[in-house]
Amino acid sequence: MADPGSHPPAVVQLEKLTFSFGQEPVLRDISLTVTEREFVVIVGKSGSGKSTLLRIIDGLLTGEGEARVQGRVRMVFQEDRLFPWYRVRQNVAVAVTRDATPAGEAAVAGSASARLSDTEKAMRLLEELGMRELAHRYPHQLSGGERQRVAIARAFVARPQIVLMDEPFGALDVLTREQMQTWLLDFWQRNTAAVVFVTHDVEEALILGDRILVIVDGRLRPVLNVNFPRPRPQRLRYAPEFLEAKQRVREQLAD
Amino acid sequence: MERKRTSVLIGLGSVAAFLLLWHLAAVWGVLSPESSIPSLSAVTKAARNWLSEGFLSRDLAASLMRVIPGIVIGSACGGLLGLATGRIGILYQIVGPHLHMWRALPAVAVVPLLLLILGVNESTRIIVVSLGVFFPVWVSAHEGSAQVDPRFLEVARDLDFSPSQLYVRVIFPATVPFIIAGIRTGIGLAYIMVFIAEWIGANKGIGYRLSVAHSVLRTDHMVFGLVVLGVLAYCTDAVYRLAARRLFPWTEKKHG
Repeated sequence: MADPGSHPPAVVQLEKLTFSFGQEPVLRDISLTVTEREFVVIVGKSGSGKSTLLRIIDGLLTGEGEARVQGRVRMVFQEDRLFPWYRVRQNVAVAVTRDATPAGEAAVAGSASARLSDTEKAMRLLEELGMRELAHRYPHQLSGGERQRVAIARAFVARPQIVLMDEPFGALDVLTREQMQTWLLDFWQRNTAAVVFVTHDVEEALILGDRILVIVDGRLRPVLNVNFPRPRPQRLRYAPEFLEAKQRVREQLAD
Repeated sequence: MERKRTSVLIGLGSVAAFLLLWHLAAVWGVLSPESSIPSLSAVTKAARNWLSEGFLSRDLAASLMRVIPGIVIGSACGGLLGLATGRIGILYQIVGPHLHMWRALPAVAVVPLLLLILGVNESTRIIVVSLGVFFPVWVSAHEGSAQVDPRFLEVARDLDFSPSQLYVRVIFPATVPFIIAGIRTGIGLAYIMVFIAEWIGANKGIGYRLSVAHSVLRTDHMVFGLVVLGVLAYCTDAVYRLAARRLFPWTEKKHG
């Protein structure tokens, strides 16, 4: 247990993490600490090892060095990866896990929420997110933005401590992407998960993150803490301090 | 919709034109009364005879009572085994060679032997039909489950699915479109198999009726029997496709 006066507890701790595909090193000597409820953004070009890093945190790959994770981890992939054979509500319901409700919460409500079926839990979340009318559709009947919103709902439904996002808005058009960013922030603030978000879009990183790191040639380095107050309005994109920060991140990516 | 109606009309027109030409061939004397090719009127007379004697309903029912259980059993066995061999390498290495050898044989070649071993009875005929259905369904289920999109397997790991959840939620549904295609091939084979089984050893069924007509050289009855068999196979396929689309609507992504 962390001392109340000290830093908030870490949910992800990587130390001197290295990963290679055959002889080719993909990640070199990576150290990263993510604390509770933090929104960390990692910016990098394609092939810089961003996705590999997320897969190691998710336990899908194993690297050399230390990778410690506290709590449940869920991933939102670059493509939505919804199961085409399930309706939206089933796609979310299959991600519900048995121990999703904290014991205390269940006891208080006369275990009302503990008794909810997986589908009911999924429906509650979809309703909260204003996606009730999509619940009966199949993924192929949704737009790209809707699909990715369902994928995000699926990642959050089991109340994970960490949500990893691998360029989730990369395939969307610019306007949809901006809407999705606002939507995600709103949703994240009502949750308790820390987010590790990977992108190649510097503007996206600055709109979303508390902290930005860049990954170049498999090496991760911190660039800046983003101090713009939340919620961050769209016009922030044109503020001089925003453009200045954007310039700083760009420079770090250049070499 | 309009387009679909047009294509149905063209199809019906084509059938009608064929029947008309057939009839005219007899009227114009191309098909002489002595010819072994029966005229349309001879075949319709045979049809009336089947109806009045009660052959049609009796033989149709008998054949269906073999074909339908055969399709169900063959599909279930083939599908389940394919789902297993597609994912479990060692199982495929053990049973694969045997199955591939039997599959390479024309299924009908096995029927006389089966009738001798299992006896000439109703369950043997059903087994014969299911055997015909089994192989194509097994092959497609095997292929389908072996090539489940690895990206979905990754999602399953991310969502902490147990092995049984992985099968129920990912591998089985991902294989369904393959199984559907395999069963369609199987339905065609089911009619071949039931025909053989009834021709060789049965006392009712369309195949039996055809063998009787054959033994007394009644080509008009034989042609009508084939028409019945053809219409039956066509209807089974149509009903099956409709049912598959209803049960698994996501396999048809046209309006995406």
